[in-house]
Amino acid sequence: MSAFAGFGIFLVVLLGLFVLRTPVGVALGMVAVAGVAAFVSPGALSQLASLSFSISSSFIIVVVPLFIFMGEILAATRIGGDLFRATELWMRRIPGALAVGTIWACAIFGSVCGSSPVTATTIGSMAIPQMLKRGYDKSLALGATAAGGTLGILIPPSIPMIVYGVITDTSIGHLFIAGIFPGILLATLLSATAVFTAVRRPEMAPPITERPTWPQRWKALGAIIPVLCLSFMVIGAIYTGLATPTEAGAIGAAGALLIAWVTSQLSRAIIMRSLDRTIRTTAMFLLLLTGGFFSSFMLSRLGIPQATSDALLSLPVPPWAIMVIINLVLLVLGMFMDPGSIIVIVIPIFLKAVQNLGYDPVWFGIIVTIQSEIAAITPPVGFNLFVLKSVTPGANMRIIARGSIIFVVPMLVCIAILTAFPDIVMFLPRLLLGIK
Amino acid sequence: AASPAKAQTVDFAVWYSDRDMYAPIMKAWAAEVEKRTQGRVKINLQFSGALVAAKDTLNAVRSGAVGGGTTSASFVIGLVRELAYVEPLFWIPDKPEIANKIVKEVDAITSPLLEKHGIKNLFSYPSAGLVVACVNAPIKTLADWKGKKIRTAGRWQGLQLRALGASAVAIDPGELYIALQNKTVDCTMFLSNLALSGKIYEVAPYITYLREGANSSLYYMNLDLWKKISPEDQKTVMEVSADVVKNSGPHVVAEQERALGEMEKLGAKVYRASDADIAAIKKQLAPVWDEIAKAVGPTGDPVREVLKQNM
Amino acid sequence: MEGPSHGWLTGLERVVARINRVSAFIACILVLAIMTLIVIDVVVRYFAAAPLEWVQDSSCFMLVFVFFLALAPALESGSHIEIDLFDPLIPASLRKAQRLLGKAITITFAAILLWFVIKYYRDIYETDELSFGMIFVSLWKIYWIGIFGAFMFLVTALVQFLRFFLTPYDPHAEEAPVASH
Ligand code: NA
Ligand code: NA
Repeated sequence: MSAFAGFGIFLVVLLGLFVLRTPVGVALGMVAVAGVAAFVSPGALSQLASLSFSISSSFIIVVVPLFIFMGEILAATRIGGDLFRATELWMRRIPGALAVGTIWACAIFGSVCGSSPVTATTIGSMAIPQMLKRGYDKSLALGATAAGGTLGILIPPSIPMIVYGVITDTSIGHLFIAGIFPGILLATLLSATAVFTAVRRPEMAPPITERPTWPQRWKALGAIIPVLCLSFMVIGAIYTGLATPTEAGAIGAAGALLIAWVTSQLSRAIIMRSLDRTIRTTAMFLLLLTGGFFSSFMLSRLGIPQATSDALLSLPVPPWAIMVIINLVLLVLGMFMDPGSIIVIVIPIFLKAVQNLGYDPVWFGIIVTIQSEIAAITPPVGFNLFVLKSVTPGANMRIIARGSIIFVVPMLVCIAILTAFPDIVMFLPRLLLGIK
Repeated sequence: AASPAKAQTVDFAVWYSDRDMYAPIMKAWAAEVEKRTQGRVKINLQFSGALVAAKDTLNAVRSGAVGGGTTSASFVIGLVRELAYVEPLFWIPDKPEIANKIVKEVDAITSPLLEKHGIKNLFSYPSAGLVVACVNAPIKTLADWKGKKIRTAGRWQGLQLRALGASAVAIDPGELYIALQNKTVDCTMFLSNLALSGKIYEVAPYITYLREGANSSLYYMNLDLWKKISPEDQKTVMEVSADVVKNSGPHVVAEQERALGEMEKLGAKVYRASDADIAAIKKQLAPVWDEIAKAVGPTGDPVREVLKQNM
Repeated sequence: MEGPSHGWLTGLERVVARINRVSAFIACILVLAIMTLIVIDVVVRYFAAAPLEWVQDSSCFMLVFVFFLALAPALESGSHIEIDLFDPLIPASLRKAQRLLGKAITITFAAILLWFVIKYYRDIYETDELSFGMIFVSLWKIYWIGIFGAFMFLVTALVQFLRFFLTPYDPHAEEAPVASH
């Protein structure tokens, strides 16, 4: 059986389990259980238990609940609304102002939240009703929010980057800092897309007619200062050496509690609700990692990563063409798989080839993160689409998907730019961290 | 009479990369095993932790999930307490012949203990010499250790650092570079070759070569899988393994010197600890060995005896 | 919804829900504890240059507890992501079977996980394996939570299966699952 056939069968079975609505982590685990029992040895199944303990007892993974908690606390406060209010007031003259404002509100919230659906829902719950009230087209309103939300994982902190770092042994601190410029670039490209849409079809995004006073504008701006402080605190803690990225998670969570408390938005109910969501998401996440690592173990035992790497490197094409192929594969897989599974399953398979081609793993981590963002907004399986559907009354998947699919274009453009100019990714890590 | 031997493929988990200085030794070992058993034993090396992470290797090999693998002694102490003596700093002399002799004698004691847990120990490899790489200033005298925050791996190394007046910080290897860069810690204990490949000298340019090593590496196989190999082939594997350890000592010493020289060329300030420096440190560390003895219990005494006689 | 004849299931559900609620609460407190300990460690290390060597290890052990304690509650609340987008491709008449099969696979996985966790636990108990890191602890003193967590995961999956089996299927009654990561 060839490596590609093996990998193909693996994906088909996985998809079959998804169709049966088996939870994703369980599906990954079950495919691996079947594969290991059939092709390795039944005794090797003990690896499943061993992994479930070793993953959950890893200090880097401790950061996951901490960053989730930080995002949940902030999502429970008015901060999301304040952010949208500020960007809306300051950007109102731009065509498609509310969509652009949503994207930048997501970018700023993304600097304190490591999850893309949480960013999308936090900003969206405020922004979407506002946009609809002012006559925005439903698909543009939802699409801009879904796409903007994905900035939550490109701008640090970022849970998928943590997973990438753990799997590929890449420094999470480097990945975080490397994500800053591409994050700003992508926010700009997404905004340009929204502006372009609004200019071409003004009926989709009517201009804002009311004129805010200057005191209103300054007040709105003042309300976002705490978030910016927290964001600087987290990245600053890493950069100044106060803490490792892992520990910055704890500082960030404590800072979020502090902000909520100082602005009198903290209650025991909010803490408990945020914690409750945190632990459930954490358990989901760790099960996903356990299943994913086990699948990855099975594929390695069958020699699939090595064979894939050999096959890719033997192609008679230049390195950038191989990167195009890898990106196309990720794009297609991203339609059907969730970002978590892609990173755990697919990245180990490609990483070897990418490194042999001379690309930096940090750079590839950023490319993979953008591919995860695309995966989050492409149908049929796109988590930002799911969450927006569940928070927007009367929205159906077709409308959301139609609105978000145009934002795939700027994301692909972003990947192309970063491939042509890798320095955009590597500049900040080099400058701040002095790597050569 | 031995049953007709079936060819065995051993998927072998290696945590370091195939560019590491040990990699050529391992590749030669695998090739030699395959050649001398006429293909009946095939070692399939998987570098860079592609199969399992270092900390999962021992369990994976025990359960048979993976055929064989290597880890430093730190990861085995949990199962075989007696190996606790093998983790601490300053017990592997910088003379390969003596280092190999100690490691072999320790193996003779610990291999049967590993076998009780389903692990066939093929050979142990004395680690290369240590460096302590610092951000701001070199560590030369005993007093220089005082008050430093030093990254290290494992409990016993931590206790040793405390005995030197420093404090031990556990940092994930992936974050070590940034931690040094940002002075989260002042120094790190490291192997000279890894300090080069991990570019540690860029952020911690004050490098003190401590010459002696710590934490030897064990190379082992699943016992059931081992038993499927015919006695003659088992003998061949052990012979090849013994040779690889014996012959590659000079290679490791040369590689270390090369790494130090390379780092010097790249701007690192390398200080080579003198015999007197090392003797002073060892004297300071003496009480820690008693603490280990207390934790391990009398079954570890033979191991301690081996170290005592050779250190 | 449920017929009176399934009172035993209702009772079982109530017990399972109560245990899951307590588990989730303990996990919540542990997350708070992890955060607090790490913040203290960072502050102490920075200002007093005296790192607390046990904080990393104990945070890791607490995370093991968080994972296994929250595993079943997450299944109960539908927090384990599942993908419902293919449902329209399945004829309505087969959808109950589809869902039951999916749930049966979850039960199978939970049973396999429990089995191997027990095996693993027996092994670390018999060998008295120690943790590695800055503190030494016999792993069996901590990892028992794995058996509890995997068991509750299995029981919760079973209860969900039975409830779904016994309830008449209404294809319009279902909500899309909410993913959040
Ligand atoms: Na973020
Ligand atoms: Na998708």
